[in-house]
Amino acid sequence: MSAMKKTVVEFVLIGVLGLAAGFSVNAVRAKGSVQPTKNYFDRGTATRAEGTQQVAVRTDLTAAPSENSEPAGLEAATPTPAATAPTQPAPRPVEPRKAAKQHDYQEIGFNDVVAVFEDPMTESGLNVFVDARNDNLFAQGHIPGAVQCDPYQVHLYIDDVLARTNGVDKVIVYCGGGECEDSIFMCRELIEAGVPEDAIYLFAGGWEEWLANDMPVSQGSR
Amino acid sequence: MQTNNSPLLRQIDQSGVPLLLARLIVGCVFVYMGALKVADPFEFLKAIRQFQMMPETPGLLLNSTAIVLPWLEIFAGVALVLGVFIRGAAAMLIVMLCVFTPAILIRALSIQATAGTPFFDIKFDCGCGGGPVIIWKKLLENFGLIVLAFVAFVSRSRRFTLDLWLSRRVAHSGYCHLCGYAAPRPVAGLCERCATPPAIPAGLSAN
Repeated sequence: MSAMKKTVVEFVLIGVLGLAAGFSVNAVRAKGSVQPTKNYFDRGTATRAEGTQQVAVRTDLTAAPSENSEPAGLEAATPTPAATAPTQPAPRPVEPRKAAKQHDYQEIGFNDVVAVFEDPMTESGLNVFVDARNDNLFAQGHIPGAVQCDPYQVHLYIDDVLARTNGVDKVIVYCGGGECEDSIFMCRELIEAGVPEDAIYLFAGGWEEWLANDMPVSQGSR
Repeated sequence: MQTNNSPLLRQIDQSGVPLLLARLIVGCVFVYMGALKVADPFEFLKAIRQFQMMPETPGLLLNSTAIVLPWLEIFAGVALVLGVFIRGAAAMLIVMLCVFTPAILIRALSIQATAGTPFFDIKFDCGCGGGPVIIWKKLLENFGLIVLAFVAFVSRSRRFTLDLWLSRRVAHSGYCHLCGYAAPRPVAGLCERCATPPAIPAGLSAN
């Protein structure tokens, strides 16, 4: 066998072994199994905010303003007619936040997140934080009381999440913040799982912003 | 190495040391990186998606890459460490490195252009295993790996390899039992060069 032919045979053999091992292990592993045909990066569409990137978020809660945070209350990037209905109080003028991530879900700003976090309703389970990061990151630190749900392995977590989010007022979804888009995918998964779209709020600043503002942290796995 | 025209290079290659070093370094790096990716396939999936080399819909190609590629790295790495299928394994790793290294460079340049980050400060998870890395260092590392994989690919020596060890159990293995070079017509298991006694320099004699 010529050297070239032998090299090609070896190349193909390694390829076939890799292919077989990859799909076999993927098929049998309980955690970390990738579904070959699923589009994990589908952002989904929110029916209530059709054609918009963000909608106004109304929270009637008040939070003590901190030095490096915006005033509490309404935070909106691009208020839409649907979100600013005449029956609702007029939004306070705030500096529009940059829509860093392309999505259709309603966003919630840091001050509103703090307000929800400090709301007694949260302690009694009527507002829920959903942490859309992986096990390691969640164990290293998360928002106290948050329930974890990895958007890439929803089937492993969704029962817990649905049990916690059943009938709640607000479901605040966050991930790492910055470039992280997992919270967007998590919103889609939650809506597909039956969580009411109106209750879901996306905290785009995520863990990065939470930590940057010296907020309380819980550690440990779910 | 293809060193017919350079006796010194041939001598170095014949020692088997360059191949051994190249095999161990490249092999161990890829086994380690592959294992990290197998441990967390979704982090790898997210990282390769960032390169925008494959469509997200349908997800088959992207997802299959995340499933298979780490195992290709592991198998090719193990083959190099053991010293079997050396040329095939080296070729596979060279192909991977030559696809992903320019992709990393292009993404880094794109970040530099859009975010205005100085090139030497750019850091992201390139899907190489181990999370976010300083990109210029990763590019240098990949360049070094390409060179070493190329050494493994072109080396004609088979010393210190499982290949040679196994071939010694076969009468006509095709390799010289001394230097490990290919020996299509072996003389007592040795290649033509090893079987030929060294010429006695002029002026020296048995007396």
